[in-house]
Amino acid sequence: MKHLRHLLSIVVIALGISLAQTTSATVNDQASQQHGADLYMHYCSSCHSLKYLRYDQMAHDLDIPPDKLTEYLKSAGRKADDPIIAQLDAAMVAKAYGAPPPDLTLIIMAHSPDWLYQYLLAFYPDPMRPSGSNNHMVSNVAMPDVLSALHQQLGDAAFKAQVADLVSFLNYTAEPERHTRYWYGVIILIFLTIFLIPVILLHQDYWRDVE
Amino acid sequence: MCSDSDPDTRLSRRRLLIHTVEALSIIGLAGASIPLLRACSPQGVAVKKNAPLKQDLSALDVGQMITLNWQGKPVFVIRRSDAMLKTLAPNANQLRDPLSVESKQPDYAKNIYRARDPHILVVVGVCTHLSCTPSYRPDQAGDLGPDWRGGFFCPCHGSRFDLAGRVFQGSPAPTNLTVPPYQLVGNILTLGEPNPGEHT
Amino acid sequence: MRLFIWLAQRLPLREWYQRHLSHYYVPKNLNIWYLFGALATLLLINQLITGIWLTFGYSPTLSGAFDSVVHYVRDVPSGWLIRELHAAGASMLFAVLYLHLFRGLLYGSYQRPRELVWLLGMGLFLVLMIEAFCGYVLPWGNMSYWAAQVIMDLPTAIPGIGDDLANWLRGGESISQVTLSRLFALHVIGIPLVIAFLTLLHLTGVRHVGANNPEGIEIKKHLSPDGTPLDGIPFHPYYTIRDLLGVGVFLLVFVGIVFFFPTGGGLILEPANAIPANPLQTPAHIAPAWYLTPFYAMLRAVPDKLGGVITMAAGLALPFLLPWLDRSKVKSMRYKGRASSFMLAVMVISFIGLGILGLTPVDHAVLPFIGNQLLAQILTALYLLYFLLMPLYTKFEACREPPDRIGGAQ
Repeated sequence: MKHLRHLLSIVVIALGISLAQTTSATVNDQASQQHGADLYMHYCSSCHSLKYLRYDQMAHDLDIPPDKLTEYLKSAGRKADDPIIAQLDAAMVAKAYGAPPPDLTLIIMAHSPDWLYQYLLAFYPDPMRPSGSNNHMVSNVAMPDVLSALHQQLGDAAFKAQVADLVSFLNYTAEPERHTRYWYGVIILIFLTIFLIPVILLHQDYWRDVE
Repeated sequence: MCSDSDPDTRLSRRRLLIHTVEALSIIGLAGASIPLLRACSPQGVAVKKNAPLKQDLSALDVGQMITLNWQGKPVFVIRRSDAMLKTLAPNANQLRDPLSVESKQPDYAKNIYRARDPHILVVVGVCTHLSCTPSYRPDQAGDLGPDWRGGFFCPCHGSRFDLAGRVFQGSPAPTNLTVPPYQLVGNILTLGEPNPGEHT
Repeated sequence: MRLFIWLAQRLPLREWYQRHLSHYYVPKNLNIWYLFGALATLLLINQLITGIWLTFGYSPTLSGAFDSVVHYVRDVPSGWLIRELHAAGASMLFAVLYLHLFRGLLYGSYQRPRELVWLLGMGLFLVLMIEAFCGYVLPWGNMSYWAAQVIMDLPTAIPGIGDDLANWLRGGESISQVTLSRLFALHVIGIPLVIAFLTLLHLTGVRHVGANNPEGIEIKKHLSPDGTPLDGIPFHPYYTIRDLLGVGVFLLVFVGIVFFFPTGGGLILEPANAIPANPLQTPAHIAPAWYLTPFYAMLRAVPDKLGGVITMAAGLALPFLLPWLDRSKVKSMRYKGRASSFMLAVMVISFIGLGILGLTPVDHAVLPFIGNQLLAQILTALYLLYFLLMPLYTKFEACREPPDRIGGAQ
């Protein structure tokens, strides 16, 4: 049954790759997400909700220091177990800018991380628009260029790193349990591989009698 | 792996393999049922735990009871008169658990009054038998027996409790009514656990 | 052990075991193509169990549906896993079913005496497509809403009764709470009961006439002195262990997808459905689930609305007629002429091509030298011709004589 031996080697290789993928979720990612959360609270949370995420849940998952959390709660006027709701009224913002700001908890699922990254870098000044800016990826977008001051302050390279952190944070909000998923997968694949060994041997044992 | 030669070896090898496959299959099925079982556990995160409820009791008259809705359960709050408080001691020999040993209450309610302040009773209005809501019967009514000094009467199966929520012998209910955690500052009642760092 | 004896006195346990397992004789040459029926049954059970669990947390209301799914995924312990098993399970079910169907085409499993098994199977496939559609609407994402909008508008193509029929199906002139509630009822209980019933009949039919095999010859023709087919082996233990092996390998793939590739690259959890339903904004690119796209492409190939509906209906209906379209004296492709294998290959390539076209946005050309619509028309025609020309090419092609016994022995 050499096909099965080949199959098992493919499985072992796949297991190795998935293990590598899992362990590469290192401390760096969490630091990036923490920083992204900070950026979000300062620049995005006045208009955009993360209504499926609670402050205490975020603080716990990203190891946000208590003083930072208090700072966020204070400026939003909320309690720790409240969901992260935008400070400004959506209807009011819609009137000012032309469209209500969407909730961003799942935005990474609706658009890929790459798309979001490009989008945030694609703003440019446009005097013809009421907000004063436009976007290469979404023409005549209603959203103003909220990060322009940060961009000018930091310059291109550093700004890109900031945007990457913000995207990394939104990657977290869409699926807080991602690392659990990877580990369960590895364990179950290992179990299945172990399971298949006696099954293959037993199969060979029976089918030896059939010509 | 030439075990073909001896049929006995082959048979015992086959049996070993069968048992191994069976064992691993059972483990696998058990493992697969874990997420199903877990998914039925209470979704604590979604429900705000112990959301404190504040109530001003200034308008509560003596002898009057109000019912608050706390965590989906009715909570009775009664301003007891001195006369009512005097009925508590004589009841003792007819009660199943006069010293509140078996029932659920915070430490500050483990006394004869089952309360922080004797004049304010706070008790969960859920009969400890099968969870009906007992009626408030402060009057010395004839239909509840000649010894009735006032208390609660559960219409579902006839359990009787005194004016401190303690259950009478002969009632189907096994224990006294539960006292929830609460704070009382002047006339302001707050139901629920205090936040960490707050004074109990 | 005593429990077993108690049960055996009251239920025909020993008889069942012998009739359906230890003394059920099955051809000894079944290959991997015969695994997919068992896998389909396993996946149906998966859909049922994960579906019930999802219903614990689902709210079938316009305002609550989307949020209830998000909360189930994020706040219920293992909720994300149950949801993913259900969504990925649906895709795996259709992948397995297409392979199962293909086996039927390859070995002539639909031919006499298995025509009813085939009809029941095709009926099941159709019912499962409707079930999948109903289920897809329930999360009430933007793609859910627009899929409902497009599909439930199709009946309007029928002249005369079309508008009334569409209104009757929707419960109104547009998609509303009424629509969502009835799709919920159909998906959760109405259609599953039909699926259970049809599956039972389908399995009973197979059991009654016996399984076909890659050689397409009937093993019951040559019996041993004790009445068992000479070329048959008992289902248990030979095929129980083989199916277990198949299930194990399949689970490696399934687990790989569920835990490492849950969105399926947008084929399992579509990006457009991560946004709540918005009746005022159609997603940039509407497509049904990947397993429905071949038929969707047939629908779109014809520029006329009614014409498109008829073409798609023909694409779905013609496979039902296969037992009567196939005039060949032999069942299996191994012994049919070159025309049959050629036409089958053309049909499969066309079907896959149509699937790709169905998934592609209208402005993206799939091939450089030909427009999408023309390509779809050609592929639809080739697909339909496989069936329409079958009475001719199966009758007149030169086929080979299959052996009398499996393994070539006469």
